[in-house]
Amino acid sequence: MNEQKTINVVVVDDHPFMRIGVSAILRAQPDMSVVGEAATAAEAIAAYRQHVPDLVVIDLGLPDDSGLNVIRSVRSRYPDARFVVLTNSEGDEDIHQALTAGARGYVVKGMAHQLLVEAVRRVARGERYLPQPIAKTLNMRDPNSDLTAREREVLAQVVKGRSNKEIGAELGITEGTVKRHMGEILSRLEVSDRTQAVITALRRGLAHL
Amino acid sequence: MLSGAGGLKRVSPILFALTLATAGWAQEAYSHRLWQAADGLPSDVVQAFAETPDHALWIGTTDGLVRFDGSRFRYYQRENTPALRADSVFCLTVTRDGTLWIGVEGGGLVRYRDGHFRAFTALDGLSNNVVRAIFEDSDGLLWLGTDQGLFHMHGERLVRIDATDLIPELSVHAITQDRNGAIWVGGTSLLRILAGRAQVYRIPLREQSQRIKSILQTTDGTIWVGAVSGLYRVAGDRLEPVPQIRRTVRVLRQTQDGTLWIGSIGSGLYSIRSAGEPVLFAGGPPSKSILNLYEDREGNLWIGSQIGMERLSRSAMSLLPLPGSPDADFGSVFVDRDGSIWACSTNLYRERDGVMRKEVLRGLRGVTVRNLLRAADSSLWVGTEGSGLFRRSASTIEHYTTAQGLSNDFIRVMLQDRDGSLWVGTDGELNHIVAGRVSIVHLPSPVSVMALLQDRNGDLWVGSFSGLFKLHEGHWVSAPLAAALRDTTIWALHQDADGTIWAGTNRGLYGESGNAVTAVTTAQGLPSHFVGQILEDKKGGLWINGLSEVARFSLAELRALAEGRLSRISPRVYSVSRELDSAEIYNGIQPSGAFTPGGDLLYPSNKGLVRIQPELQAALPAVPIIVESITVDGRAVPVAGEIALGASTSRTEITFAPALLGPQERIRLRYRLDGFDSEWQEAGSLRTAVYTSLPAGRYTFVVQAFESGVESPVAELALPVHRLAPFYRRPWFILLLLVLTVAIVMLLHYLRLRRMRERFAAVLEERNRVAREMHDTVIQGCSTVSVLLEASDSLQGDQQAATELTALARRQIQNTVREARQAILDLRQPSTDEENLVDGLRQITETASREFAQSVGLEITGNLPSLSRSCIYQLLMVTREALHNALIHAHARRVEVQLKHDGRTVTIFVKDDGRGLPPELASGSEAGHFGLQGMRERMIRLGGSLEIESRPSSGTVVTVRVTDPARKGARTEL
Repeated sequence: MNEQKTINVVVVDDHPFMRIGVSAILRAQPDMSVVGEAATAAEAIAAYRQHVPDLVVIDLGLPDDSGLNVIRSVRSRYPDARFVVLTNSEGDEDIHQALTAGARGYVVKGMAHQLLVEAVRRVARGERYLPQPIAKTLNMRDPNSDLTAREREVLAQVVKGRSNKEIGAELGITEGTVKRHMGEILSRLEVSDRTQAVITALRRGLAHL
Repeated sequence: MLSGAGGLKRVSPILFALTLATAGWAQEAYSHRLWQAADGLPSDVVQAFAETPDHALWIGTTDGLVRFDGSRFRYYQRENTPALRADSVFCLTVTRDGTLWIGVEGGGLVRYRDGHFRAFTALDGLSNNVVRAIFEDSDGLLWLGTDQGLFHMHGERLVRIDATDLIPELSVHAITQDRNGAIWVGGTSLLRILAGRAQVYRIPLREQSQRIKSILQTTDGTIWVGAVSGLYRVAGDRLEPVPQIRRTVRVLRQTQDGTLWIGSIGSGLYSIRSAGEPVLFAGGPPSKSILNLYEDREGNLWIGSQIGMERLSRSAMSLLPLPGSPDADFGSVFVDRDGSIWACSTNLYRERDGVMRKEVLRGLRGVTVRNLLRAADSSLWVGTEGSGLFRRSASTIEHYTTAQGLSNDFIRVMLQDRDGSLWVGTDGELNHIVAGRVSIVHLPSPVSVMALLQDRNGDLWVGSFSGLFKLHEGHWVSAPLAAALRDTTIWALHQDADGTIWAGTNRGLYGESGNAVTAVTTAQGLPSHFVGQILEDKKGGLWINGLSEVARFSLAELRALAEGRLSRISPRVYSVSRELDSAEIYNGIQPSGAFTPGGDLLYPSNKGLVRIQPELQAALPAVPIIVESITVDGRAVPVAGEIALGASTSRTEITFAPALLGPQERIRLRYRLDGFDSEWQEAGSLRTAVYTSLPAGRYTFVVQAFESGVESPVAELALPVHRLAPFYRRPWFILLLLVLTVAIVMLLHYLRLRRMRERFAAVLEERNRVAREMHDTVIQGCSTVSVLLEASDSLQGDQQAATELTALARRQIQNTVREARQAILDLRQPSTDEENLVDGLRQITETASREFAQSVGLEITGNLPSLSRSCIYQLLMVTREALHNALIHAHARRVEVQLKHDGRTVTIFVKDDGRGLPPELASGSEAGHFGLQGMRERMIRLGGSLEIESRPSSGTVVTVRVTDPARKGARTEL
């Protein structure tokens, strides 16, 4: 076995069995140790503070907040904090957002466990690790499809089935502005209507349910 | 403008010269029309005339002012015109600006301008209110003559100018201006005023006869002065009497033909033509007292007298009365070779000096002459009524009667054959007199002979009371024309210059040319279907008369008609009856019409001989058509611009007339409402168009005036008519309707869009819900199983741990299946798809109590919270889960659901009094109880919380809480 330093890991997932499974995989590695588990975003932040692990394996969909916010939040205080995202989402936007937020590895649940282990190991070493399918998805991402924060907000409302007027009221902007944002969104997503925008947004991870 | 003596300025020397050439007119060249009080004048005493630019003649009578437009009178009297203080209008003048000035005896001066009357009295400087003369001089200065004083009009004030050193005081009756600009004022003296200084003329005095009544300078420069004592000419500085006229000369007027007319009191009207002697005018009104004379712009001469007013209009038609033959029942006219005119009626007449005088032929006293014929040998054949036939030669008289073999003693027509023999048509059969021997020529049927013609081939055409017959070399032969006119009464026969045989019948004019027959009836332009005589002039015209009119047809047109090049001909029609005192032309005894050597036509009538002088038919003046009144539903509306009819209009009457002061019989009017009438309507004498049931829209009312014999209209009037649509047909309403329709369509579209959007939202929400359920159950579960199996795989060395993980994976699969089934069940339960939390809770509790046969209480406090559908859904899901747990596991007696809402926080309690949860479940740490786990996760996702408080044997309280659900929900779902 490798005599390297043990990698201390915190596992964040809202699902208990998932935590059990992930922890079992990591614990099975001689160079890894699961030092803490968390089920919510709040717990995750608290666990990081408590353990200051070498690495966090984190799900993006947490009951109380997005895992991305956990990453940002933690990295704002611990710039060296390393995260491997383990999630169900394969959308290019999720990957992009995760990497932008500071995650260095991205593994989809259901992939072979060796990929997760490899990701943890590499990221712990300070490298970046994206399994082949993830890297491919990311490469196919159209850089022009970046939406502004406001457009993202509008899109999230559209996904919820809100009308332009309701969106305007919700975001405190005029209906006309919403329309302009919508036009921009449709053109960036290269779709022709709202339904397609919703489907594309969900597929690509631009918005979540 | 023409009133007063100012009219002389318009007469040019050329006109005067022209009139010299036609000075031979007989006085009968005028048609006369007399109006009296019985005809609508307010008074028989007509004293003044003037013409305003609107084609109206103003008439001053002793009982008020009258406006005459050619067909109707309008009255202005004290009762309806307060400015007229007295009714006796003495003089009238229209100044160059179109203003009418009215001199009233006892009422001062009245001005009529733009429809308003204004009186000038002593207040305006007019110290005498008997106005006798009004005159506008060449400088536009208005002169006013009264019984006491001569005035100038300065602005709105009258200034007296006589009774000064320069102008002696006088009473004025006449004012005029000579061509040198000097003003002549006549009255108690005669003055010539030039440069403000008066020259006084001495009048050769006879007792009480010094008053001057009228002054006129004729175009030859002569100044004529009419005085109480007679007519004078100014010669140097004195007056030279005209000896023939010793009566009071009230009025002097020169007409455009150069004639000087002299109206006298007591001896009627005189005329002086081309500086000749005064001649008493016989055609004037039947009054000896002529009060005024006026020639209007059309050339009609108006004569005001003590017994009404008379209009003299130059006319092509005139009557030569036959004294002593009032309303005879027959007549014929004969123009002898020497040009003398004979008329046969009750008596025999011969024209001398323009007058028809009785004539008794030697040896024929007591015989009623029907017709005359001058034979080639100069003998005169005389047809009689019941006395047979006479032949008068220079020395002998032959008499032919039935005794001598005539078929009948009533002679209708005579014709001298080329061979010198005479054909005689009688009331019974045809006779032939050859060398004094009479023989009867039997017609194919024995009837009266009406007309005879020998054509150029020498064949004899016999028109009878019943058919036309042709005699060729002693034999009756057939002819197309005869065939066409079987049983028809033939009134006249004629062969024209082209050789066409024409027959006048009582059903039209028929011609035969080259074996083809042409019919000319009223359909082709014949004025009436009766054709009594056919005459041909030397200018290619065929003259045809009916009973009441004479018409001239162009032979060229008739030929074109025969050849089919023309469908209708337009004759010039002379309306004899209308213009000549209802004269009716006689037919049936030939000749019933003849030419004089001068080209005039003569026809016998019940009023005497009708004479038509075609060359006198003057061209009509420009005749504008004037709309006199417009009446809409009995209410007069102003005649201006467009006729606007309201939507409710039911009857519209438009009355129009030609602006013609002269005889209007020559004018035929027709009208049409373009856009409504498809055909022209002949106006007849009514001249009122009535329209009812006119649909809404824009029309043009067109009136056309025609002069008889002229094809194109001489005047036309076009008046736009706009009938408003009822409000529901008007543009604004239709527009409104359109806008409303568009608005409704847009509204419907908007509603549909909204519904679609709502449906879209609902579908999206449902879709999202399904997706979330899938995500939360199947994907989450499967990925967990996958990780567990991967973990198990990674623990190859640790078989026990791997087995545990595999067992966990098995449980996870069971759980996933259960959750997925529950999710599907949830989806199938519509009760959970509530928009209203309270209704949803009520349904859940009711369903649960029914399913589990246990009562479930529901208590609601606080207002109904406003929550999103997804939030309600989640809350209901959680509540139902808790309720099911309580009902299934707790063995409770009472289960109760409470909803509280304090404005911010929605709290749902699910309480039971059952046995409570096992501690490890209540704490939530036991991963196995996934129902609770799922509930908690749902609440965390909503931003709320879920608490379980459970004590063994004392029941469980599940508290579900959401604060600011809308906001939180929104954020968490981002």
